Amino acid sequence: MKLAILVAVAGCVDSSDPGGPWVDASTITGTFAPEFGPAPAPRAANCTLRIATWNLHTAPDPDDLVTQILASQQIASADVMFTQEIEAHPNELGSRAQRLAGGLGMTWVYAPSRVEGNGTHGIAILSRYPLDAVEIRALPFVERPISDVHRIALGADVIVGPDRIHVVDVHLDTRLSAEDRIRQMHAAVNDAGEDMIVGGDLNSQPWPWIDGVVPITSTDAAIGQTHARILDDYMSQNRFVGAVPPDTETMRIPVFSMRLDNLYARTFPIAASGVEHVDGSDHWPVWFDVTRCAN
Amino acid sequence: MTRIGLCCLLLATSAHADDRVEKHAAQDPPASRHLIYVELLGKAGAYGVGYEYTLMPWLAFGAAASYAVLGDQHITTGAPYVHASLLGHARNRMFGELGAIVAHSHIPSPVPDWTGMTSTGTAGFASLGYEHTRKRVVLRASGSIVAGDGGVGPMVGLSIGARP
Repeated sequence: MKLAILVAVAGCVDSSDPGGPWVDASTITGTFAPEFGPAPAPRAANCTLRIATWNLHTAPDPDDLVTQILASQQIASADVMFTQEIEAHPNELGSRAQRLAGGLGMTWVYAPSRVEGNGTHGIAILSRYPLDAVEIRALPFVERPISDVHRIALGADVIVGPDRIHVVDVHLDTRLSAEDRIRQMHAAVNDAGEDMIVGGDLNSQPWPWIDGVVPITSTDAAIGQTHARILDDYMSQNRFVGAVPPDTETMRIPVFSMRLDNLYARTFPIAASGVEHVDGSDHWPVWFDVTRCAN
Repeated sequence: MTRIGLCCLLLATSAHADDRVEKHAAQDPPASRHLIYVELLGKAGAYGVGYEYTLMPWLAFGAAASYAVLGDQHITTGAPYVHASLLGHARNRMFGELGAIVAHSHIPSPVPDWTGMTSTGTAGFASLGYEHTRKRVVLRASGSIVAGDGGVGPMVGLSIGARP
């Protein structure tokens, strides 16, 4: 209910909306109440953690996703997975996050961000390690003429041995101006602590937009000031290191190459990273290995 | 070599079109060599204000420019180009354009933990379009390919102008 009120309030203000504060997820009730999985099976505390992020926009079947992930060399071994555009519907056998996590032997937290049909649509964190201190934040709402929706960030502590690794899963809005995209990312990372990992579908499309409707493709071709580069610049000024460079393709779209998705780590060294070409969604999953023991 | 070949083809085709244009020109009052126009999308970004000088009936030089604020992003664009009539007669023509785009973008920071971003880049473009002229008014629609520092992209543009 708290989140619903936050989202409703956010929708009543203009594009300078700052979003909401971080809210303890366990206090949110009603339609937007998050769903928590049970504690996972005990696991050795490895020094290296593999984190992945994957937008599941065109992937309604969790069983198929489990098959695709288990067939993937890189993603099958992920310790933590951020997902976006994952849904829950009452006529299905549990939420899709629950079924996906169950098939992979992970725990999960699913945070709905909006109503979709007879169910909800949102983001989820899946983990082989226990999750604690789960929080949700309404990101700044940006009003646009076409399909403006509320976006959220989902934060949690991943308990790895004696350590708490703070992670944040985000799904930024589409067709934003550069400064609105920075405002949404800023809300996700600015007061979440120094040691953290953040990632998700950042929707970092290449072009400036006229009112979120018409892309100015000629300007991008001349300048190359894509939102992926702009986000990387913002994140590097805040001491984050990204998983993949801005010219990496993470979405399957003809003609245009876009890096919509990425992962960033602050204070955790990145040991390896990449994009895995896994079927099942119109996005490719991004992954990286971060070294926990170096801190 | 491919570019040179394309230019030769454009010029040869334009010269052929020129014969027909001059036949019409004999019937209509001579048009002004100056064209002033406004453009939506196209080579100068979100919009453009342009000027074109007709050197020969089938060949003109021009430039379009704009200063646009999209959100808080400030984009300044200039685009000099060569315009050649390829086919058609005085009122309805197919044309081609080759030119360059120079763009400068500044994004001020909306948050305290970022300094904002400023970039300048260049691109070349090739366009193919349709032009309709009615008295002094010139309407154009074009599709283009732009290739530059930021990669390759498509571009469409609509313009309306006048020959004073």
